[in-house]
Amino acid sequence: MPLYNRLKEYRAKNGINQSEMGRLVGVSRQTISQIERGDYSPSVVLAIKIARYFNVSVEDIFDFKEEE
Amino acid sequence: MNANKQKKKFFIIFGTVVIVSAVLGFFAGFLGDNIKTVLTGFDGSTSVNYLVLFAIFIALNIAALIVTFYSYFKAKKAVNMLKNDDAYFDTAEKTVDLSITVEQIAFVFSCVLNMVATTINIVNVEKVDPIIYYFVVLIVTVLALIVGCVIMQRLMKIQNQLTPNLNMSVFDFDPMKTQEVQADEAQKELLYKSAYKSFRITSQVFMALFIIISVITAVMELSIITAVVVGCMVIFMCTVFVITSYKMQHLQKDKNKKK
Repeated sequence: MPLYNRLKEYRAKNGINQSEMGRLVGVSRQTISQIERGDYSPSVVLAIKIARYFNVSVEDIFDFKEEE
Repeated sequence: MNANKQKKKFFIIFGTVVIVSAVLGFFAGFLGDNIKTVLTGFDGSTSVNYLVLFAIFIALNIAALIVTFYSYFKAKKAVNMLKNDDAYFDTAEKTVDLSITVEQIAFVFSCVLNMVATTINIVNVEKVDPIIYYFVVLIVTVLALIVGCVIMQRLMKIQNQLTPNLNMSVFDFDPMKTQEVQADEAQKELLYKSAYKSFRITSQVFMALFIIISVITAVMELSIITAVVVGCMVIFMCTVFVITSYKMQHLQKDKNKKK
């Protein structure tokens, strides 16, 4: 089930790059890059950390569409 | 274990392996036809044009060295171009990963090539001056190993620059374990996925290789040693996989019971 995210959008709004984002939530730049590309679905902990950093709910950033 | 101790341990083991291989190979070269036949499946009368083989052997080694240096410079160039930009990071990472893979292939290729050259020397020991040929092969092997290690270490440094949380080194005896410990969640998933895929492909290839070698051995009446070695590798790989899976399942059950 594909997980859609708006991480890149939020990151751009706040003017931070992938390396900084990774440092802020305690993961590598590769992980942020893979999440943004949709290649990796983050753990619940990481999703919450990212959402808390942007001060929004997890659903604002991550969402999935049911396959018909 | 600190870096210096690790390096010291690496050089001690590396040196021991080289010296023991040299001594064993040296004596093996002077042993009779029986040992040669058991080791290689060929008899001592195999006709080989040494000059041509020697030229091919040197040329292929040089080619492996060129590929090694090329991959290193390509990786270095990619990192030098690095800007504080996400797209550049992705490109540089891809280039460095590819360079490391190419370098590893060239390195292993060079080692296999030298082993083949040594084996040919053992088989045809009566036809050339074995001492000179043997030492040429040995020196080239050691040189290839040293160059391979140095270039690989430099490539590792470049990769560490790109992924600071993974501190990799060629002097590490269990690099996969180190990588597993240091990796974060996405890197770990990638590592496990690629490890399982590698296992799957390798076991299939080895099984196919085992069948092919068994047939060739039976048809051409060669020594069974190669088929036995490949068969043992297949058994070993599958056993390790099954035991590890069983242990992981078992541990999971124990954890659930404790909860």
